[in-house]
Amino acid sequence: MNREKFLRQLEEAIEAGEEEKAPRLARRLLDLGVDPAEITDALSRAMSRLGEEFHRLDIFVPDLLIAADAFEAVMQIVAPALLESGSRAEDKGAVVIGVVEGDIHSLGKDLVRVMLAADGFHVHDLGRDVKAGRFLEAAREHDAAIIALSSLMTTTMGQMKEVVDLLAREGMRDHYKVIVGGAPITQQFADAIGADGYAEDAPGAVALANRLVAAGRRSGNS
Amino acid sequence: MTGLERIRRAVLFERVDHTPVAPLLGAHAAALAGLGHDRACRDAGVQAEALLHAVEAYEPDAIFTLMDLSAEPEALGAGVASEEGQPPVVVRHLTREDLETERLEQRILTSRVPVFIETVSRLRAALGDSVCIGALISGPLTATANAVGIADLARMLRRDREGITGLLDRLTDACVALQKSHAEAGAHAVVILEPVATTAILGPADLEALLLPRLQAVTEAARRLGLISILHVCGDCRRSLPLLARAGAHALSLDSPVEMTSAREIVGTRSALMGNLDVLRLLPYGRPEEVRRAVRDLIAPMQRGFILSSGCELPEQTPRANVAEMIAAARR
Repeated sequence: MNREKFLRQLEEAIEAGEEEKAPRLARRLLDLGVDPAEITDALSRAMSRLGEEFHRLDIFVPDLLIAADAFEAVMQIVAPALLESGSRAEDKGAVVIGVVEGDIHSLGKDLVRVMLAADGFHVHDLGRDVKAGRFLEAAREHDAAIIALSSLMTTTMGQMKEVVDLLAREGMRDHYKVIVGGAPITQQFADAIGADGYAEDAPGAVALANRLVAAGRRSGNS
Repeated sequence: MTGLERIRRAVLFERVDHTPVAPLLGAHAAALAGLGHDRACRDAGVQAEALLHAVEAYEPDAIFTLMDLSAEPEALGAGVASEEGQPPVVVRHLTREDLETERLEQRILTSRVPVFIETVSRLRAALGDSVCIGALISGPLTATANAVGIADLARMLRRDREGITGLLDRLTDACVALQKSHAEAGAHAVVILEPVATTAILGPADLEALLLPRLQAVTEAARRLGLISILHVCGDCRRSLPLLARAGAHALSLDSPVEMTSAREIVGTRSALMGNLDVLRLLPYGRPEEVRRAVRDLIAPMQRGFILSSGCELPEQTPRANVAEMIAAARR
């Protein structure tokens, strides 16, 4: 009885961005012996609902951000339990994400990181002001399926092409899907620099990553 | 009719001889004059030279100072860095406490902010009343966001309502002090930049409760100073337009995602509209014929109360032919 109630309360706490209550509930659920994967499923449901609401602009960046904070606070507790239990949470592959060189605006990237993690991707966040070479290095290290690039400034968006060109020069272009996003980025820009996809917001980035991974599986590339 | 008269009449919905044209030339003007963007943001002589060169090259109806959203945060104490040729960016944000220590109305007039005030003064000395001289300043929300960082601002919006209200009040006072200095330097217009007020970040409820009264205070102060007030919001702000229309600005400067005839339906005659040629593709990469068509399509239904402009500041690589065509097409 309590498990369902607490799981429901956990989802509500995530959606309300309750950064202290949500981890308390997660701890209680673990203490009750609930499978950590069940907890991450609840987190995914909550974040997915938030994503839909954000996409419709029923909620806004501040709401999504505090929910993301609550999600990450819960994951601090659940991730070790997940590892320990050996329970198999959904694994959609690894994503290397970062803000391109010269740009320090990380809010959009942070939201995408959390939404992808909540959806079952293993996300490796390289932070902000990341050089092109570091993306490739990290993608190799983590055997990534996707490299996700963010830029908020028209003056730094050109760095995204640097990453795509570097992959081509290194003969690695077919190994990774490159997705791009950020305020000045458009589908046309993504096409022009040879990226594999563009999304206008964090929920869109999750849908795009899923499409690319599924397409990769169908064609046997990943 | 001078450029200034055209702009003044347009914001009052009066008849003009042709649609006034006022692109946000800033970064492009610096590149056109062969002067570094970073230098123009640090040296009033360089900035004024670049802008005067652009006035000579294009003969626009208005000329605006460079868009530099790091100038006010730097004056308030934030850390700023710039690479050669690039505009300065904030690299170290302030805390809420940093902004509560002293009077921001005085502090905001320090550091590089005087460069922009001095630029206005030089432009006025050179151009008199022939062209509308506009000073770009960060609005209260954008100045707060760039001072404390947008993530902290977003968290405060939900977790520290009292804190954010206090900060916005202080930055509103600073904003009013800054536009007063620009008016004294000879500005005819002030462009209040609120790119952070895009709907995804600031929903209608927050916009109405937190920003709208403060924008009204800024535009009211601008009117008292005899300034034309232009409120600029980037990106897609369609859902916020009914509220932005109540900000009291003479004109709303809107970005290309907003369809201007729908904006006119929502805003009515409460504010003139300014905009909104696409600065991501059309102006930097389109052909002059495409620019001409876009200008024609944009102007045709707008009638009075409209100023043709770029949706945001022109990228520096915008071809000269496209800017020239934008202006010529409005005057045909």
